[in-house]
Amino acid sequence: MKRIIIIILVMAIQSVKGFGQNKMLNVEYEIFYNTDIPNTQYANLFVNESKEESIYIKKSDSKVNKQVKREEDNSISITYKSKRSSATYFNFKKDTLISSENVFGEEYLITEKTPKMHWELIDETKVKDAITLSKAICEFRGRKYIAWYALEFPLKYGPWKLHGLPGLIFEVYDETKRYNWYLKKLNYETLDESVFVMDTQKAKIIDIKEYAKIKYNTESTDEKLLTKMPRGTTIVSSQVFRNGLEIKFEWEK
Amino acid sequence: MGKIKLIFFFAFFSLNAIAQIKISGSVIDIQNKPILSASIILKDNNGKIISYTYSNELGKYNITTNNKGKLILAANATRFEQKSIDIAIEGNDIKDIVFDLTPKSNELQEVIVTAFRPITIDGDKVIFDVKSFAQGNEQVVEDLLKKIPGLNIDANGTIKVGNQEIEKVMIDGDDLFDRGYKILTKNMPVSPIEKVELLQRYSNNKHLKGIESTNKVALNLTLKEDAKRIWFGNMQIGYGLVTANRYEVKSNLMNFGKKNKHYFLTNFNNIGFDAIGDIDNLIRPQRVSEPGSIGDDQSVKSLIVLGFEMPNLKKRRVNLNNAEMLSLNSIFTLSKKVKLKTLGFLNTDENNFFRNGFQQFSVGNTTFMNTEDFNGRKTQLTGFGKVDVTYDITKTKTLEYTGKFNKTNEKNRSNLLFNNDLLNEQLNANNQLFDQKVVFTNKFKEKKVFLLSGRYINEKTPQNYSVNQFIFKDLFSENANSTTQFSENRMKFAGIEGHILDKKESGDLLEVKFGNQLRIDQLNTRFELLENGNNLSLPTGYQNKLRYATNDLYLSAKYRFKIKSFTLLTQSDFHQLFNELENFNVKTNQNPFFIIPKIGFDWKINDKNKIVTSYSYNTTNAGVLDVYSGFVQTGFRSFSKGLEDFNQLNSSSAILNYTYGNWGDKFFANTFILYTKSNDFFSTNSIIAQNFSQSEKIIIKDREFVSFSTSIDRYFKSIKSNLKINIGATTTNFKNIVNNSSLREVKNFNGDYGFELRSGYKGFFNYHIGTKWNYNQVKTTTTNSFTDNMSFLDLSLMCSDQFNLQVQSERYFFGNLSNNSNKYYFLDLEARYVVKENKLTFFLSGNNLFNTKTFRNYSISDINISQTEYRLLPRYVLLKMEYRF
Repeated sequence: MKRIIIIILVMAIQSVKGFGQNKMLNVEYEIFYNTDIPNTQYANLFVNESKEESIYIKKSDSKVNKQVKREEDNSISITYKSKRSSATYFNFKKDTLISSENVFGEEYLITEKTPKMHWELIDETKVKDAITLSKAICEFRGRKYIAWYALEFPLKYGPWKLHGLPGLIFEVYDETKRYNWYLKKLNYETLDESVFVMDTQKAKIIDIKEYAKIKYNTESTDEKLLTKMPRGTTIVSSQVFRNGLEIKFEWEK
Repeated sequence: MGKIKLIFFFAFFSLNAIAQIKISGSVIDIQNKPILSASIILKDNNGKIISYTYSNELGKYNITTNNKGKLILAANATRFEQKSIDIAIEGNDIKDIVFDLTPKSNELQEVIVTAFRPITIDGDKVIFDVKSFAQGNEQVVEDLLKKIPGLNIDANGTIKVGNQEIEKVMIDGDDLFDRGYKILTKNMPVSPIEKVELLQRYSNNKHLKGIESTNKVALNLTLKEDAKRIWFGNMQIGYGLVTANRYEVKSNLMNFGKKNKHYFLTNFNNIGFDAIGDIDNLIRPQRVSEPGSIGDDQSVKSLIVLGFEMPNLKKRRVNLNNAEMLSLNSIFTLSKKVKLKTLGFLNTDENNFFRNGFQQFSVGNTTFMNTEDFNGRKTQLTGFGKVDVTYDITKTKTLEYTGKFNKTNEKNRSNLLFNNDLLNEQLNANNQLFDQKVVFTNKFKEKKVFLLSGRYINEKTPQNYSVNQFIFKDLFSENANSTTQFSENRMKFAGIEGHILDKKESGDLLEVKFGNQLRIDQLNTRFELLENGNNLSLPTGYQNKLRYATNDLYLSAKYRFKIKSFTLLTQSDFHQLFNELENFNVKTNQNPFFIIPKIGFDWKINDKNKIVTSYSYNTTNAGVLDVYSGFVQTGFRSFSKGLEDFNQLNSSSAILNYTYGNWGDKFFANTFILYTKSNDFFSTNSIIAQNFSQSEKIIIKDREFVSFSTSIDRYFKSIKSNLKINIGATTTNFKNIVNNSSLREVKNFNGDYGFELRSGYKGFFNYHIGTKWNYNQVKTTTTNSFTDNMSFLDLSLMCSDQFNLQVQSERYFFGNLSNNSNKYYFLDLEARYVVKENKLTFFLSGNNLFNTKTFRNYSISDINISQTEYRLLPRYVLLKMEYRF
């Protein structure tokens, strides 16, 4: 725990020093969340190739976050809105991955080692806007992802926690198409390295195992709702869904 | 530690076994500086990637392979030109392959990708491209929908978006099934479907979308232009195993094309299943309080029904039936703008009914007891037809026509042993309905809609009732030996209504309705005393010839607005009535004017606490059955009559609803209180004797009605179960007159309390247990009361996705019945075995396994105590097979 704080502190100091401005890769992704309330969001992936670090930041000013739901009837609608945008920071040199997330209204910084993704490269390609994309499949934390990467851009980076292909990820979605990322645009920009600093204020720092507990070990709503049903409604499926991006962790059976 | 050693050992072992070749080297630029994060790809001769890695900080890389022979090793780094080297692998590691990369001449600046999206969002519509989701192994629509994210489909086929069930599944915007969409999703093949559309904030009238406040969700399947027409459907056949003579046959047959769509449905059964229930939604779509629903609340009541009343049990336990139903539905797209929908069904049913019991009357000084042993049979034939035509005049204007026709013939026969007399009742009843509706919708501005609806209904219910004995010697001096009554209640309704919905910028909704509704009722009844089948007399005071016309000119304004956490709803209805009563050619008129105000107030105090209240002052105009002047026979020993005059009744009612928490919370409580004070109300003045009862309507002042109910839900994490506690009470205080008494006060009190515990285990087993007590008290000069109890235990065993078992058991206890007949037990079981999903399923259902043959009920009223015993459907076990073709 302390180490992370120190790392972040060091990074903060470095950036204060104005450690440098560099030409960095800025990749824009469009994310389609086909969840209960389908919505589109946007994110930036900044890559500092010389330092082997990247940060993926979801834009907070997307339409959905701004959208104010107005209830005209007595309907109950539960919408968790994170006030801050979430970010995922990779440092391959230090073998760390830090992500910020809002879980049930609390801000967390979740730390872990860079997870190993065992991509299976599929001998299938498609051409999009004159860029040849190759297919790869990987199981990651309970979801099967199908990625289309460009060998033309030999970068191991990708959106969110997805990484480790021989080329930049242009398209990736999980098997059920619940989460879909599409690369919209990429360019080189001169950027301040402070972009790579995670905002630690107010956030609680925890490791990935603690995160899993907080997110999923609270009793499931589905399960609870079922018990409130009147007679005659039968339980035909006893499956309880984990609905997030990560639904199964390496240490779980 | 031991583990690590073992892993080492295995690693070593495997290394030896498959002889992995290691290739290593470095990547440098022209100045000999290491290039980090360059990708190193090992390809075979065909360009297929075998393996890949990245160079480290020092530009070094390591890559392993099991392949042998000629391979290509390529290095790639951003801003450098790619370089590849041919290598040949024989059996030794290859070391020190150095890539010296030259910088790219023209550096890439920007790439913009135009993305194809399998999912598009268009306002409240989410469109899924089927190609992108189908994996090829889908059989029926349900399989496809399961692959569409955001939709949850449970094993029953119920489709939900989040926690909300969808309203319907349409095909090219056409709806054939309403809530019964599972018939479609479980049978229709996937191949003709091009797109799946999820419609949020759905409105039944497309022009009201975004104006009406709704949170409904619906699905629409669009068909491919060149989709081939296929017949498809399913069939369910069940036959009694141990106890023969029980059967059920159900079949659905469909064919959908881009232009025409057809759906046939049949059901034959004698297991108490109400087949019309399946298409009830199509006959009478539930559009209550929706714009354009003028006349939906207009109907004619029959005057007499034979004693087929059922006890408070599941209907299929008591319904001794033999039903046959055939239904045919079609949609024809006549042109781009015109659509024709037709629906027709034919239903026959035979019901047998057995009950016996006694009624103990006690009024003032009069006490007597009647016994009844009833054995009845009803045969029914219903034909129904419905035509809908929709014409989209322009994008914002639609004209819709609906025509309905119904004819029901019903024959009832009974043998009734009344005390010592054996009566034979015959009742032939018909229903004829002719119903026309036209609705014109014009969305004249972005958020403003005008609807003009017109409706004409003509309905009549003629009835012939006769009894082969004469038990009214105390009532009539004639020397008759049987009676008969012909009655006809006929209604004509014509109405026109304009309705404006205006959604303000702020989101507040203003609704204004104005219209005129004319209803003309004709009530003709003829009660005859017969001697050997010949008319003896038509007793005076037992005949009706009435024409009652009510014309209601009205204006109603409703405005709902929201200020922070408050929502205020105000409504005022202005009515100018023109009533005309023509009784045996004597005309009277009355033209009252009244206002019905209503105010509602919702307050969301915070996330946990919510209050909903409303108050209204109602004026109700009397209906035809309140105003007739002669007695009408309504049962084998009962007569009743109306008030002979116009009247409007006034009452005030207030509602308070308080909610703590949300439904999904650990703790959730909801309390509801309703108070109604009737300034004046219809009561009765009755004469009760052993062989007859006569009651006439009178108006009495002040009736009070209070109803209270509360439910508490508490989820216990430790046992993963939810405890639900229900408490409710209702009291009514009113006055009536019996056997020339003075006004006597009647106080009814009904209280119930109970609890339920239901588990939510993840595993294969779940339970649901509960009990409920019901206390009834009727207080006149004497007090009668009783307490009943019902308990249940349901068990569910989900052995696998293929096999599951549901067990339901119930116990009924009647506090005031004697010990040997006050407890009843029921056990039902259903096992389901899926041989092939959505293709072949077997069911084994056991009903009434304790073989409880009769069921005795106890009830009280202000004049009597009664006990009734009903005959039940005996034990049967049905083996059912469901097959999709």
